[in-house]
Amino acid sequence: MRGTTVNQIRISRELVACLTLSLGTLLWADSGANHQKRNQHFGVSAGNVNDRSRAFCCGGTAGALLQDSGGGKYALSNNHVFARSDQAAVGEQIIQPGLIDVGCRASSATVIGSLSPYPRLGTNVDAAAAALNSGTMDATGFIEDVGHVSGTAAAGIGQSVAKSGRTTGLTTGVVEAVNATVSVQYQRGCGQGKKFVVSYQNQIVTSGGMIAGGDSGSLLVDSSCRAVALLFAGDSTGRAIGNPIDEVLTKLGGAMRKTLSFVTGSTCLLGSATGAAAPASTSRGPSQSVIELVRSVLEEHKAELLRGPVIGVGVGRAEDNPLEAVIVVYIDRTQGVRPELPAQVRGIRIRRVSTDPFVALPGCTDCGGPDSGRCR
Amino acid sequence: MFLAGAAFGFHPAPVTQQISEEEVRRASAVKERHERALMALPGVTGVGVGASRRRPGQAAILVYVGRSLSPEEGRLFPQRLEGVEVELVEGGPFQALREKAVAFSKLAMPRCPAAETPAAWVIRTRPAWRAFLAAAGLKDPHPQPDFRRSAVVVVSAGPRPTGGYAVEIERIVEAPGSKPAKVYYRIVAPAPDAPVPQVISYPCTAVEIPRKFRTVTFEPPLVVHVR
Repeated sequence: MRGTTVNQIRISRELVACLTLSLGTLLWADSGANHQKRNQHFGVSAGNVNDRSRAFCCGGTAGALLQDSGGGKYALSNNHVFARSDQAAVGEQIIQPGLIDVGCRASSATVIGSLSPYPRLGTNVDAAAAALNSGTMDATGFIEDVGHVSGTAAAGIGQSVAKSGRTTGLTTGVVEAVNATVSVQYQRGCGQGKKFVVSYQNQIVTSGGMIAGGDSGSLLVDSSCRAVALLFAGDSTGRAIGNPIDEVLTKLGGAMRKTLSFVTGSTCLLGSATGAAAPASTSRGPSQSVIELVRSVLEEHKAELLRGPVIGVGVGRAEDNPLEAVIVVYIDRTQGVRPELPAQVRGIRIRRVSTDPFVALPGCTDCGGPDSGRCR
Repeated sequence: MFLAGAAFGFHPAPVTQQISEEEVRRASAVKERHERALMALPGVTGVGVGASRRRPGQAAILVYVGRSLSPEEGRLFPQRLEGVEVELVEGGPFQALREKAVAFSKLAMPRCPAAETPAAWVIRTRPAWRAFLAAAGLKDPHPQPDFRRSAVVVVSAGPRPTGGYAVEIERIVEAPGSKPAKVYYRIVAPAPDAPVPQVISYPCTAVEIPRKFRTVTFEPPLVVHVR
């Protein structure tokens, strides 16, 4: 349910903002249910046992399994999750699930380890790790719905990526921006205390629909399960911000005085090798030339499609074949009218998407023109 | 509004197009030089390098803007810098994404009200709590919540055909708006082969939550009595 709502908002915002539709992110692959229970895999709920105030308790995600050169094993997450935004003492207990998923009662969760020394906020990473108690978490580093990390990689613009996290489970998208400078808002306590802003350089920004509150600490991976970034922030459309993973390993390792690496393995549920669980919707898409063709057909027929309850049209992917480009027609469900639409236009299929009316949302007051493609 | 938006040509998702490393380097270098000025413009939450929508195949400086801009503010943004497109993206403000839940503690309820349908009570004062307990056939002293700091939430499952049923509060979250709390609960049935008393039962549970939550809603929805 939550995913649907978020996606409708996303669609609305994108249309109003004159942005293009990327249907891959419309399909939330998974709900977070398995990610909020006791689960020895990574990509699941975890947190600091002291991360609570009188009114609230807090938590996030244990994203992945790290090791040092001596074989020590660590769960990777954010400073603002495991280390309570610089407030935690080294050695504080880390629990799974986090307090948020056990009614704020630590006794209902499992202590999986203790907080290791961590780099402070303001050092361009938001990272912390817990030294794991043996037997508490999967020793192969399996990430729920993703598989094993196969290595690390730098992010490229447009690259397909996925993450597995406590709240939204497995989500997929693309890298929207690299080398980004962003300001990120924090709150010192759990639901209380001073709010402050930390600036980051050289960050990775994803497309929307990838992240929500509680997914902090998730690992961003590419379609062959290579680690790309440690996610720690986002906006209301689910656009995620991540620290480049090499910098995370270097700075976290520096604070811990260890040489850190991922525990790697060969099971990758995202690639074509294993097939079944692959989020094919975003790992590959229609070719650019096909999209151009569909776009030109749409331009020709747009006027006849945009009638009655049809409030938007775009180029997207077929639901049943991510490699096929289709015309997507957005139908206002509140009008209660089924538009008479052809099944296809010049051989290009039409995909109907039922939606709430689009509303103007903050951020864009004046859309430029057909060539601007973005709001000005 | 939306029709105006829809009238613009929708470009194919350019983010899927590969941008050469040289393009990224070129745009990144320009971005570095102008970053401070761009970050200081109204509403800007971030500046990065991505695929240009105006010029497919080229890299652009993406400026994330987290709020509406007046036309005057919009004019402060350059269209391009040193030959690199500057494109505004609605994005941010960005927040650290730790999740929070409302802390609550369970109250022992030796007996529940005989509610004829599933219902909830939100009780904010001691007299109302006494009246509630009395109506349920319970007398003081029983759970003595501190109403200066807490409110009591009681969730009743209504009548059930046998004993062995229970109500569990799974999670309470702060909903958007002015301090509402949302209670996620479930009604647990006895195991099929469990021996249970063959009497109609009225399972319920009661929790203390911080008093500051002015309204309380339930998922699945319930009739709520505020006392």
